[in-house]
Amino acid sequence: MASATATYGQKESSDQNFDYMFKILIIGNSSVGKTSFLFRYADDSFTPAFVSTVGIDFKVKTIYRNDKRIKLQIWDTAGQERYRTITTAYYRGAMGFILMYDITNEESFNAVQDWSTQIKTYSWDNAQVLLVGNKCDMDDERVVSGDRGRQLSEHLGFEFFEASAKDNINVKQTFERLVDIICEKMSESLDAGDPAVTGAKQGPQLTEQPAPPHQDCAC
Amino acid sequence: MPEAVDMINLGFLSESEQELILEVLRRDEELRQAEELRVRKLKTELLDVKRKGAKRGSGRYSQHSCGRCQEPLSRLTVFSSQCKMCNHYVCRNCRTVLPKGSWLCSVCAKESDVKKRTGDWFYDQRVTRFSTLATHDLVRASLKKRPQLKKRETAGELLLRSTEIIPDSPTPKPRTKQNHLSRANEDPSTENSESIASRESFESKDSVWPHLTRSDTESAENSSITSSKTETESSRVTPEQPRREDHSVQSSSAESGVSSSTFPVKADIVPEVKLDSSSLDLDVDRLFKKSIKRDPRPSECVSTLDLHNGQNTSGASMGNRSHSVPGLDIQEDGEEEEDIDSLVNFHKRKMVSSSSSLHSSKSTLGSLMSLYSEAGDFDSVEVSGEVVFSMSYNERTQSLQVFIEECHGLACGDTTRQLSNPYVKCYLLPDKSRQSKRKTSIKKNTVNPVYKETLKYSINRSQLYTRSVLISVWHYGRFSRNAFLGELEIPLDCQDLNSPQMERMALMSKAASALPTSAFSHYKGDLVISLKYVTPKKATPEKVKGKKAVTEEGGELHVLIKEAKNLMAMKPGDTSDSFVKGYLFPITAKTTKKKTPVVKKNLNPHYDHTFVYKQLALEQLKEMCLELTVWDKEAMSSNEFLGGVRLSSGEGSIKIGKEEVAMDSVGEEVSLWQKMMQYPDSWAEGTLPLRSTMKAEGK
Repeated sequence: MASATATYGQKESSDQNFDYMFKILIIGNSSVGKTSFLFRYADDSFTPAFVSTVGIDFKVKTIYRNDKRIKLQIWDTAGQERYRTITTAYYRGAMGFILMYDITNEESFNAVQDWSTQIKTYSWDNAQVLLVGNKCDMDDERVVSGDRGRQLSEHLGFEFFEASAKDNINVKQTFERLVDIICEKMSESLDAGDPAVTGAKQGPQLTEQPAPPHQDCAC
Repeated sequence: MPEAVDMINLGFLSESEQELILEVLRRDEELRQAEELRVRKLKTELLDVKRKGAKRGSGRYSQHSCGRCQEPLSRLTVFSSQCKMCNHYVCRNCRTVLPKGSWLCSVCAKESDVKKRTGDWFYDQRVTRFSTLATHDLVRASLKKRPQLKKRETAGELLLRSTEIIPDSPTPKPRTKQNHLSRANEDPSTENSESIASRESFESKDSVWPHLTRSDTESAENSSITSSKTETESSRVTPEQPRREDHSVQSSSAESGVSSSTFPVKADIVPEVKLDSSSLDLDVDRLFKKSIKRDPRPSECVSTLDLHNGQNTSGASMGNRSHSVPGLDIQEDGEEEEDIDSLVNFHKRKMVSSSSSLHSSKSTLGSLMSLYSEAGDFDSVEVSGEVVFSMSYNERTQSLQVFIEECHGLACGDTTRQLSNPYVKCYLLPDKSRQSKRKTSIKKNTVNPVYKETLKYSINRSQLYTRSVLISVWHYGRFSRNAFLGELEIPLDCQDLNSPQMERMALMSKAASALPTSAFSHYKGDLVISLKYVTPKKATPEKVKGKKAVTEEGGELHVLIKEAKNLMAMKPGDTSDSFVKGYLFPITAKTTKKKTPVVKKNLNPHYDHTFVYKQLALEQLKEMCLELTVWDKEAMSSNEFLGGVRLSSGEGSIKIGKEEVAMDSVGEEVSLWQKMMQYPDSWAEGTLPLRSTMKAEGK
């Protein structure tokens, strides 16, 4: 969207002209494409070479959404187990999570449940989670069907996207949806004092609400 | 895996890896600092707006004037003009219409907006998710001593610090951890912001437990509003002394209570005592009750500030607060009670560091008069008028100076004779003991007294930001009772003390400044607990998860007292020997008193002790109330009350002894209790801010 200064760095991080600041964490097994996903979103760049992330990294991007300027601090985490102690420390305080697996990698999909448990263990209560199956451009090598991804996401109560950092499919959508969910959560939690509003909203929206509509990628 | 947060150290990384990560952390640090500045600015704005709001607190004003600008309201509109959040009646001009067509008063709207902008809506609620881990795992995980993070911290700062600590030594593991922990301990202010803020978190909780908490929010709000009317401070719950108007009358009964203090059993008497609270002291403490408008804000600002000043200042904040202002911890009863014991205690504690302590304790005789006035024995009059004053900080003498210039248009304290003999009294809140009291001279027979007097407080500058100055004006009734003429409270966190300006502010009545959250207005630390309802073996889990499991009889309530954080220091050397006591009300044979062992010399003690209450049906718990109180163990005298929490559904009232006491649980106290009931057989963990008083509203 209207992210005029989509570059990260000093310029962006020192920019104080925004309304909200959200912290988002990308997690998932090693080499599922977390860093690429972030680079695609923040810098609109892609490199096929795989460089393992050391511990943690982040980028800042300010977007314009729902009439608000929202500054995102997006944390990219190392998928490798050896950095786990560092990465989990960042779960606290993250408002949103992008839990990523690789549709060409069964193991990464199987690990989703564990990642979700990690989120539940370390994150704060009202953190929002999106499940993303990355690399959907590589349909030939696909081993995890979209349906399985969807089913799992429903089971876990997360919304679901299939995306490709390489072909820039659903990357922006993913982040924007997550931002929207966080915004919804925010209004909800602040309007909670309003009996009329919350009264109507009771019911299904418990801790782990089933995801409403799914906007998967077309491929 | 559970060690994750514990063991943050980068010792296992190669040097180049460390460098990379440190670079990231530095960038994050930069960002965070900018962010904290921004947050602080927002909160200052909010404070300004709030200060402009004429009425504060629990809506005790006439319904016929606007709660914000005090313009008269027409009678017709009164019914539709109540702000949903603060319950003030406000005029059209003081409303902000929300997108959905509903509206809030300008202050509440601003507050809500600031919560969004600062992220507090999220950070205020920091209970970890309900875990699907096997419960014992979770417990084990949470039993680990985690270093505390600031609520916005995302661990970055911690990592940064810990890595700075680690030099290049390849095996710094245990050491780092230690540094870590001790740092966390030394730096209680970091936790403050986190925990204090959580007091407001019940609003955001709703989203998580919508159907349960929705109504709770209301009731919590209501109950806190109502309780604020009568809520009394007496953080010393121990004082059995009913405060009476007449000191001498009381002495026999009271002193027997106090001086019997050589027995440690003292604490056991407490809950009953609390109920005995005479109606008089309901009024007493209301004066103090209002304290900081919203404690969370100031102290959050502090933590922000600390960051900018480097980490040195932060160490001085909470833990040392008591240090520099001795009266904070002790002597709250001393205020009413000049008995030997308390004086002895007082000296025993050797709070020499403070300049104000000793001589002011000697000067108490002269101020007894006003003590009684605070004990509720005063006339109330319609408050009017204003105070002209300025505040500055004198670096040289390290003191805060409150210059009282004059007052205008005061009410007549003696209504029959239509005159006032006003004097001004100051407290540096949250210390409301006599050590913090300063008074001007009494001006005779005027409603426009001119004082030009300076009231001084010796205090470290860095500590000022958590404080606020309470200025009250009193009529001195030489042959009659004193009368309260009005007061106002100025939080110091946003006060410019470098270039003092004469300020002119309207006086307010007491009720006005009594905040709904009053029991929490003095930060006393936090208590970390886990609750679990264990269903009886026969009942199937499925059945229990449903709303009703009536048949069960043998269920158990497990209360795991994990730790307390940032307790007040009660003993020399800035420590306390604390323990936690639990009561489940209504008291039955099965729910008697429980106590943890004493943890010595620790303001962040880990108890890791479980209270088990047996033979409870899940249904019963809705009507029950769990009270956990933290005490400083005193071998030779009565234990000192350090704070407490009251867990319940937050609705209705409960019979304790002969008295009907409202279950005035709020925020996490409610949500944790709900969580426990909602998910039997799993632990619900929470960090609860300690109340400074356990007084609830009797009916």
